[in-house]
Amino acid sequence: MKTKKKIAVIGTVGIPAKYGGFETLTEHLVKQLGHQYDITVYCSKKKYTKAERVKTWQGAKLKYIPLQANGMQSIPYDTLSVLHALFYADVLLILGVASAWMLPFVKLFTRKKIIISVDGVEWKRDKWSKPAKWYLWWAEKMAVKYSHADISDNEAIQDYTAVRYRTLSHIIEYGADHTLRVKPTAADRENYPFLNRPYAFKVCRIEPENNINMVLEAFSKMPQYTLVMIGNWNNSEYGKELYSEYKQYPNLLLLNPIYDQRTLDLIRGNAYVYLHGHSAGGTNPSLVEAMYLSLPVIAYDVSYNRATTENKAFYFKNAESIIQIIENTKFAAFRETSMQMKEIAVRRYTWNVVAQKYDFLIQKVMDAAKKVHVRPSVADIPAVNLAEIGLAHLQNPSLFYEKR
Amino acid sequence: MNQLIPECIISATTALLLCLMIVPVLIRFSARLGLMDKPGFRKVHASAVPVVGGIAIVLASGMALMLSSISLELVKQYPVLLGGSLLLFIIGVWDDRKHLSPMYRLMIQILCATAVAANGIRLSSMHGLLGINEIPVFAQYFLTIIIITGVTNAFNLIDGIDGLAGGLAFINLTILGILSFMLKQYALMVFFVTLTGAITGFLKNNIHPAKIFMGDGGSLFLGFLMSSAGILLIETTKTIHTIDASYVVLLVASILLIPVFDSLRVYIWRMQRGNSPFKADKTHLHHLFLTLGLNHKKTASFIYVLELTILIIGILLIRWAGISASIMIIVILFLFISQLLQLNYSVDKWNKVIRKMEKSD
Repeated sequence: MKTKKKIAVIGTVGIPAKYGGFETLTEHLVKQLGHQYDITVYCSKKKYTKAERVKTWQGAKLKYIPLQANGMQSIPYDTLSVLHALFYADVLLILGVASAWMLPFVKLFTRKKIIISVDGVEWKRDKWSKPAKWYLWWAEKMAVKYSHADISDNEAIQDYTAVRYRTLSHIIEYGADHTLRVKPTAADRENYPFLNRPYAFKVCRIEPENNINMVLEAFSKMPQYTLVMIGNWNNSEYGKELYSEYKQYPNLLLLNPIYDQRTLDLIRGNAYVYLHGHSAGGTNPSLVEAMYLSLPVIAYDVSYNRATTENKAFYFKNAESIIQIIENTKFAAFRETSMQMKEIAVRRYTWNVVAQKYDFLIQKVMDAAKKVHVRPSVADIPAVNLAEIGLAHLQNPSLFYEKR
Repeated sequence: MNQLIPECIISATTALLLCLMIVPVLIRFSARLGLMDKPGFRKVHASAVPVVGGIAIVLASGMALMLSSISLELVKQYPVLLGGSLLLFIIGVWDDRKHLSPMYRLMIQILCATAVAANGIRLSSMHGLLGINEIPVFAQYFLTIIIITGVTNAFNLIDGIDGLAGGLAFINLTILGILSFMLKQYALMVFFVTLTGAITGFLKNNIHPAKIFMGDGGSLFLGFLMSSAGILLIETTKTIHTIDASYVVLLVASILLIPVFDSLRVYIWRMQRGNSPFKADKTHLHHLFLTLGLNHKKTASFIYVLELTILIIGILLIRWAGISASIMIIVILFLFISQLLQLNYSVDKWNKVIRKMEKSD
């Protein structure tokens, strides 16, 4: 029997998933690819109690690192994980760029294959301090330059890496088929009376980059429409201020985070429309989940959201355009959009599709292919020689991102 | 000797007062003389500003010196140094009026530097830097000309925001004044102190928002003077042994380090990006500080502090690290800081690119 290739998954908080996108992704990779590969996942000791720290989960080995997986500590956390993985792994699957400073050494001195997900242009986000932005900006460059393949989770990020690094990134998004279609029971209707009437819905972290104020402002001017919004209001001054400013409006229901999957899916799955204000971070798991739940999407107008929804959703730039869309769109048009969202999600955003793409990429880097340059190799022929045979135009091909 | 202090005070005060009196007159006639700097792509100011600072500094300190007893001695001792500085001053003012070809300007700088070197003001030794001491005559000429033209141009380039070149010149001339005193070059000392007086008057009109600019006339004059005088003082240690040569080398190197290494960094960075090293852009040290979000005043102050820090670290290090290592360390320190600023600049630039990409549809 052929021995299984060893894969180390680095850069998540750990599995079973308690947190965000990368953790859920890892969980599904383990479930779907566990029979083909020998997978090891690095987990944060800080986030799992002693009882929770199992040695294996669904066939994957779990290693615990005694550091936080996020913030400043993510640099030593990822670095230690990479160092440990160097002892046995064939492929390092690194999610996030924190450990990228050491990739030049790994690539130069070992024969490990490196696949790295650059995440959603982290260095641009306002939540980071200046030195953090500097590091992330530089680390992203190291990640793309010294990996065997890099992953973008969105077309717009693939465009960006093509412009900045002249290399072709692989797009792999997230799955959403772990969400549940929940029919409200009589008890649910009693607990959440707003389920009886149409309502708009939004769920996100309460941070300025998610354009919460725009959505709240729009709905505060439309008292006839109900908005249900779930978020961590008490986490920051910003959240508390918004909460106290908007709690007086009877049509704005501001709820605290809900961790129970059924309850969350009950509330969002039965919404009339879904509002998505994220302006950063590539493809957002919450958006693809809403799409999978067949919700008509009204998304903030940035390239990432347009790419995720294939330009078929509704887009807003400010509070006025939200009002415009809500007041002027007929039920049939929302219905039509919801079908389109579902169609896209079933085609692109299932864990099976995602896992297959990762599988393909792992096999591709095992074959030791070089990174694909966005300029065709014919452009490397000196201009004079191309001009002689009348093909000088091949020196300056127009590339995919110019046409989108 | 006991007249030296009053001499300095009187001369510097006279220069300061004269400068304050001359500036309004020059401002009034600046438009008629064609000495106005209009805003442009590379400029960071919004409306036309009179470029008369250099003229004010040279006139005020010149007149103040003529009133003192050392003027004759000064002219007798350093005819070529003063002549070269004044020639570059005139060329600079000419350049401020109507644009001069950079090639032509460079030729004159090399000519003046050669004259200074031929006059005996040239580096005859590396004073132990990189382990080298005495050097052959052609190398003496070569090094001297490179250093003088390099510093002159670098100082011209650092003159990009209000108060920066003036403030650095003030610090540098003070250091050169102290060195002159320690090396018993009293005429030179009075000269430098007088200049700091005139520069104080200039700075009053140049701190943000500036009423006047120094112009190429001022920056070429000061750059040439400081580099030539630096070499002169280094060479003086051969005959006068009041302080160790390595200290003089270190201090002169420290005060000229920021403009020189910043220019080199800018040239290299431009070439890395596939541009001509002389293609103008907004990547000089002060532009990088402005990108960091600092205002003009703070940027200028930060760069003063940086220069003083470099100076102090150099002085503290030289005792036990030696001249080569000390200079190496302060150069590395400066490059490290400027690399961080450069990183910040790149992040800022790509931030704009990506925001545009996000909104492109």
